[in-house]
Amino acid sequence: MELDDLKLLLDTSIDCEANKSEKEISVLLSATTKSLVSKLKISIWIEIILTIACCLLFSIVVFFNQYWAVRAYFSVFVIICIPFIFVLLLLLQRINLLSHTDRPVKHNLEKITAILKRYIKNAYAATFFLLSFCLLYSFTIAYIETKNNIHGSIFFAFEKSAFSLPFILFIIIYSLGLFTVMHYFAKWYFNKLYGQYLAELEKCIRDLNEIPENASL
Amino acid sequence: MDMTTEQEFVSLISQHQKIIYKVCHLYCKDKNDRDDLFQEITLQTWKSYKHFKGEAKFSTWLYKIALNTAITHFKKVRKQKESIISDYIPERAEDSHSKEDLSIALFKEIDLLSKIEKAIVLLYLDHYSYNDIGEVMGISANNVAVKMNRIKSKLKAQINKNDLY
Repeated sequence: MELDDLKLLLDTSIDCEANKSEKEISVLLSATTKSLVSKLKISIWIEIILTIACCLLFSIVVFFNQYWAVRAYFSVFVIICIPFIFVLLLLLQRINLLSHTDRPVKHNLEKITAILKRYIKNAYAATFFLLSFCLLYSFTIAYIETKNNIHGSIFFAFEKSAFSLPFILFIIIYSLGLFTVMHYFAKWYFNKLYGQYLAELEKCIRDLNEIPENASL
Repeated sequence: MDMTTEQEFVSLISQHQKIIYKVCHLYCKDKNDRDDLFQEITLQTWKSYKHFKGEAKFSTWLYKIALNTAITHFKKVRKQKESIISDYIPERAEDSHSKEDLSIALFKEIDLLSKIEKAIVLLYLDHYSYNDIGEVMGISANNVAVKMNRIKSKLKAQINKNDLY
């Protein structure tokens, strides 16, 4: 019994099924793709739409809120969100390059893995950059606002406690807690979305690269 | 792309649909999964068709896309059927070790191979040379030969273990 004998069996079995008409094949061309690349593209489109929605929402707050601190806070986020949209569009353009799957298998796997890893790394870094920025910026605004305009400030509640040692300690512990929770949440979230897939792709690349020891031709 | 291109593409896929079915059969146990994969491969091929220059044979080019799609395809979670065999290969007789029995047993063992090994076996079964397999997979012909030898030994050992020789 040789492996080659299987060919006949496979061909015979497939003959029963491989009978799609040209009409049936034409219908398939109008269906939507479910590949990882298309899922990644959908994720990025959702992020772009959400970023634009945030820009609009924050702009409304900037123009219509009565508090200076809130206006200052959200106006900076509008400024951050606009270049972020271009970053996402650039990422989308790079992912579009992956749409051609007629490359050799190893090359294709390496490309997808690299872009997926870069996407996860950048998304993780962006999460922590924004979190640090939010905290520092909001504390700075709260400090300025409390110092300059105590009675008309939205931070009035903190008037007495603000910038005392226990308050600063509370802020440090709160920030550390938030960073720890966000670190584990981001890790869990990206792992749930892409972890299993990435592991599978990396295993395929390892399989392709691996040459067994004592191999003989 | 225009209607003529679409018609030309559909006709090519219709002629070469066996290649897509072979890939689907090797990578999916479930009939619905196979249909999903068939659709995905056809779509990916259609999307890449404008890049097909005709320098390589259409069948080789189709294999590249079909294997790339199958290897990176995430199956929907469904209740899996017992075996790839049950769907399309007849049950083997209890006491006889006919050629067909051995083929079925081999198929069961192939089902346990890794995605990369399945791809190599599929191209090998379609009489592709080690050079051509290497070109599709993106590895050297030597590496293909080594892997193929290992796959054959692995399958032989499994078959022997199951006392089918």
